[in-house]
Amino acid sequence: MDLNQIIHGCKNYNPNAQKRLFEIYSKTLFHLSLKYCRSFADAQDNTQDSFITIYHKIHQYRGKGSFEGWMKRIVINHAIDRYRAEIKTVTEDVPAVWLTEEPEIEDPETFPMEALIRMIQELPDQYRLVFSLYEMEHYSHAEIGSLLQISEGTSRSNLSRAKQLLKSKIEQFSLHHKNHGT
Amino acid sequence: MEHKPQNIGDFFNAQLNNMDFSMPEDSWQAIEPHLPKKEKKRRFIIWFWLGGLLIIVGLGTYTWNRNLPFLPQQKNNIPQANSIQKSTKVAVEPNSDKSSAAILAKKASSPAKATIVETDFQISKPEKLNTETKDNPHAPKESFERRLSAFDTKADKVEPQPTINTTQNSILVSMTNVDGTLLREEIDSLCWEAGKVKKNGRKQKKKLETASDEQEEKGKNTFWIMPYAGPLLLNDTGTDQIVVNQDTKKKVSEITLTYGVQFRWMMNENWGMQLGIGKMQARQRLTFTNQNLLFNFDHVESSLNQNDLNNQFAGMESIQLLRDVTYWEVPMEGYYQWSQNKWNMAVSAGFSYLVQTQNSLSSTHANGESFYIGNVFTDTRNSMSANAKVHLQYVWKKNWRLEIVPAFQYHFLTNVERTRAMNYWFSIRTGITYQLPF
Repeated sequence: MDLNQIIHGCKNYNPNAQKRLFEIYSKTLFHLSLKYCRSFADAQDNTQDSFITIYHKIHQYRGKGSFEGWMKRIVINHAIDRYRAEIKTVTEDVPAVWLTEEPEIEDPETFPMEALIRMIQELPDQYRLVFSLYEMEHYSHAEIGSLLQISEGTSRSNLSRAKQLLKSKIEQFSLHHKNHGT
Repeated sequence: MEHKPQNIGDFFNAQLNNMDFSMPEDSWQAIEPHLPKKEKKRRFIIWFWLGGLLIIVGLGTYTWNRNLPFLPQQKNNIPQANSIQKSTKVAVEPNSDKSSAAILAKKASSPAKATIVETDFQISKPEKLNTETKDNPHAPKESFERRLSAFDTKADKVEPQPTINTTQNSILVSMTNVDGTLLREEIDSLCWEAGKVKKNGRKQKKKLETASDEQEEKGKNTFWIMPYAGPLLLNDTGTDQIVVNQDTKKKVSEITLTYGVQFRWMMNENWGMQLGIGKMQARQRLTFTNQNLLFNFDHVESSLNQNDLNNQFAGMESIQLLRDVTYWEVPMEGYYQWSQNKWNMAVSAGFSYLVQTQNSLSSTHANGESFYIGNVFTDTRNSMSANAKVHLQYVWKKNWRLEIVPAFQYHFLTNVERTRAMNYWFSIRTGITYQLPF
């Protein structure tokens, strides 16, 4: 069953096609959710909700553009909706601050994957969303501002703060492991 | 969009591309109940049944209208009754709106019998009952007086008790402008209920509650499907016009097969409708003893010419012809089922739309040879039959039943057709009935 057959099957409510779609894309969309959600459990919920929306709205996919891209947008929109209330709250308190220099990793050693995910998830919701949208999905600040209903300046500021926070978390992590000899 | 190779963003992007986390195994189970289901089929089924219902209601209305002339005469014989003469209270337990009180209310609220309502349960009887009911053939005077007397006795024994101060738990029955027959029935039934509630107390109430609860749960808008098959026997195919010079000496109907699938929509526990599609095959063996049989080519279509066909049977002492008739039927029936136990009985009646797909003739000689003769002409390929069925059911599991359905069908045909096609069918259909999950 190729992708077109699966999409056609899902549009005709074929249970086998619906399950096959989940089997193929659950991992990809779960990975995406992990970057936008606060925890693994949240990411699981977000992925499940997204799949339900995908099955219900699959008739709206007309075959133009990437199907995977269409699904990813649904996942990201679900994550944004999930934290929209918190996003607004944070926006009011954040001054438009941005850095002149990009923070860099001096020693880009291989970090445990779970630790890296946790670092992103521990960011404030708005920082995490801006960082993931900009760095992972390559959205522009204008697009991010529109999505999160914040200004472009706020988006830039949030991105800088997110990177600063991540850098300090990486340094703490490295220091901790050096001190413990791991 | 330009990012330095070692900046934080690129670092995370590169690292997270290699991650490998899977969704928990129960994720699909969580999604599955929320998947969109195909509703078109259900809509089709609903329209299918609604169409059937409309036809039955139409037929019912037509029949009812035909019976209307009887109504004025009956009405003139009905005595008028006045309201409240006697009242009594029946105790009703709290929270028992589904129990005896509800049942009494239901009985009393049937159209044109009584008006209901409020805090007490009261029963009234009409004035001038003795003189006005004697003309009513359905309510003999003596019988009525005896029953009324019994009612008075029972009603007097029912002690007034405090009623619960919610209107759900107590009932007022006030009868006005009710004819003698109806009032008598009402009184009888109310007496019976009141006496029984009084006599059996909590036990009876609990039983009624349980029955009421079960009734609510059971069989409301359920759909059933039954594939069936079974033996079928016809009474007569008619042969007079197949040959021109002799009637058949012997006709033997053979047991053949009917099969199909039937859908049943139960509107409530007792009433339902059936639609289906099935195939009915019938066969009759005709024996002729004329040594010079002449086929009637006005009614028989054969690839052989008349002389060749007649010569095939020339000089034979005994000739056997096989008449095979096949119909596709679409039955549409009303269905009534008695309360459900391990064994159930139900009846259904209605009509079938029939399409004839085969009406052929072949022969078997005494020496064992056989060959296909041809078709018997059919004037009317589409026809109707009236059906009556008895359903014997064994409740195997919650949603499964084993069912045996003896059936009788009468075929509506024109007089011309009647001589060339069967008029009656008897069949015993057996099948497994399954309740569809919606």
